[in-house]
Amino acid sequence: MDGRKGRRFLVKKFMKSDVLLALKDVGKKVKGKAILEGVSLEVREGEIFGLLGGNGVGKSTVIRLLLGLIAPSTGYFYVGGYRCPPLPPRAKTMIGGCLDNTSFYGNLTGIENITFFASLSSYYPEVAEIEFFASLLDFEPSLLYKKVSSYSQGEKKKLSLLHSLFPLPRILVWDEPWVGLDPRGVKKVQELIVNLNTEQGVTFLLSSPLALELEKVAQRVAILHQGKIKWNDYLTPGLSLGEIYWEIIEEK
Amino acid sequence: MGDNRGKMKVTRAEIKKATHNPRFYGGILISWALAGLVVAQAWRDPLSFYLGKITLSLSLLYPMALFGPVGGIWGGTENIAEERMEGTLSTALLRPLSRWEWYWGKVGFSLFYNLLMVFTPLLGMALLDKIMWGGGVSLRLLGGGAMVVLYISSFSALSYLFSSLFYRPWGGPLWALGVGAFSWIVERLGGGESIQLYLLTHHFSSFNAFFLPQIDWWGVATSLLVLGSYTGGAFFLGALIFARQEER
Repeated sequence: MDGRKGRRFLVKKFMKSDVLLALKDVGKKVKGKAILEGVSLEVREGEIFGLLGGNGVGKSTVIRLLLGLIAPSTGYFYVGGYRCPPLPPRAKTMIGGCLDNTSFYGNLTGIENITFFASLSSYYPEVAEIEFFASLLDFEPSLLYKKVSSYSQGEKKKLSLLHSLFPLPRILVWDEPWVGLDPRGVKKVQELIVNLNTEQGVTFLLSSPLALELEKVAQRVAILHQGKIKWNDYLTPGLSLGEIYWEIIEEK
Repeated sequence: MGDNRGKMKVTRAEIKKATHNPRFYGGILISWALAGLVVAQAWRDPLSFYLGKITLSLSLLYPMALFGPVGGIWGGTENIAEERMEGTLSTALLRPLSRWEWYWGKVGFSLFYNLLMVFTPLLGMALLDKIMWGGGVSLRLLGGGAMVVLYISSFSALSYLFSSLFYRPWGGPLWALGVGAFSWIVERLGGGESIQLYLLTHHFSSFNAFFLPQIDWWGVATSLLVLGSYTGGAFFLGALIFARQEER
């Protein structure tokens, strides 16, 4: 399945050198209903890209698609230099993901879950390393040693963000990273995003329905509405993402 | 068809994860308890036990073949349908693995567990036989054990197949049990003797071929072929279905 070679994967000539993620005219239908229609966007290396949209507009579908969990009905996408679908394991090594509802094994502790999933990437993190990143997310280290079944929604969200950092990939694709978090948690996540971006050069694709939170960290944003990209541009000082968003969704 | 290192990675991670699950030890404890009962019987009356070598097979292999398929079906359901229902399958597939590698890694774990459940007490029994009577039954015991493992694995494979096919978690166990029940009923109804050989439950007591005065090699080969076809066919078909699915 992943061993296919040739033009399907090695199509770097199609890609601008700094584009790490790209969707080309992607459509997705589920049971005859169009979820995405002709979606095209590019995420360049080193940028924090935001995907803004209300509930049920297809943000999570874009994320699941880029993470290889679903395939587009039409169009294709690139991860690194690889043309997808299918998303080959080699491309997956570049990308770390957090879903809107990432699930873990309830009978294992937080640290056991992180270690288990990291081992599937042939990575075996040190406890100190996990505790360090946990502290950056304001995640109580003692929680790491409790079973996930006892976690609150916010704690599960932090764990899902945390698990995607082992190993630290080139691209992090996070679906609604601050949903379920308190204001302090939201701030910590935003600080972590900016730190990883500036210090480690990690590229981000973040999806959120909250314009205010997204514009605090994102450099460029696309607005997704009714399965289509309605706006895609850099954020500049004085530009209100919220106002643009409202203008778009109130358009008939 | 995927990278073997990827499959091994999944199997190793699964084994490590399973050691945190009490159910992992439950199956092994039950098979060890059965072995313990046989040891107690042998200790109490070694001579009669030795004279009736068939006791070994009946005391240990028969209940394993009877109850083992339940564990096999459970394993298949837990590894595919339950992971999908809980959402942990999506979390795992975020990692650099293809669906194909994930599936076969899980199969590797199930086969490992079936072997562990059947063979660890059998090896103990073989050792007992060697110590008390100088051996002689060991080969037959291990051969019978291999047949039981294959019989249990055929139910595991059916469970993997139906768990891949149906998104509902009860689809796997119900259909796998259904195939077993259908096979049993057709066999009991008699008639159609030409198809009896191909029925799954017909090979329930295939381990007995190793405990006849002369090992029935023809019967062993037939059972190996039929059970191997069920196991390999169902695992492979399940993999083809699973590899083409999506996690929405």
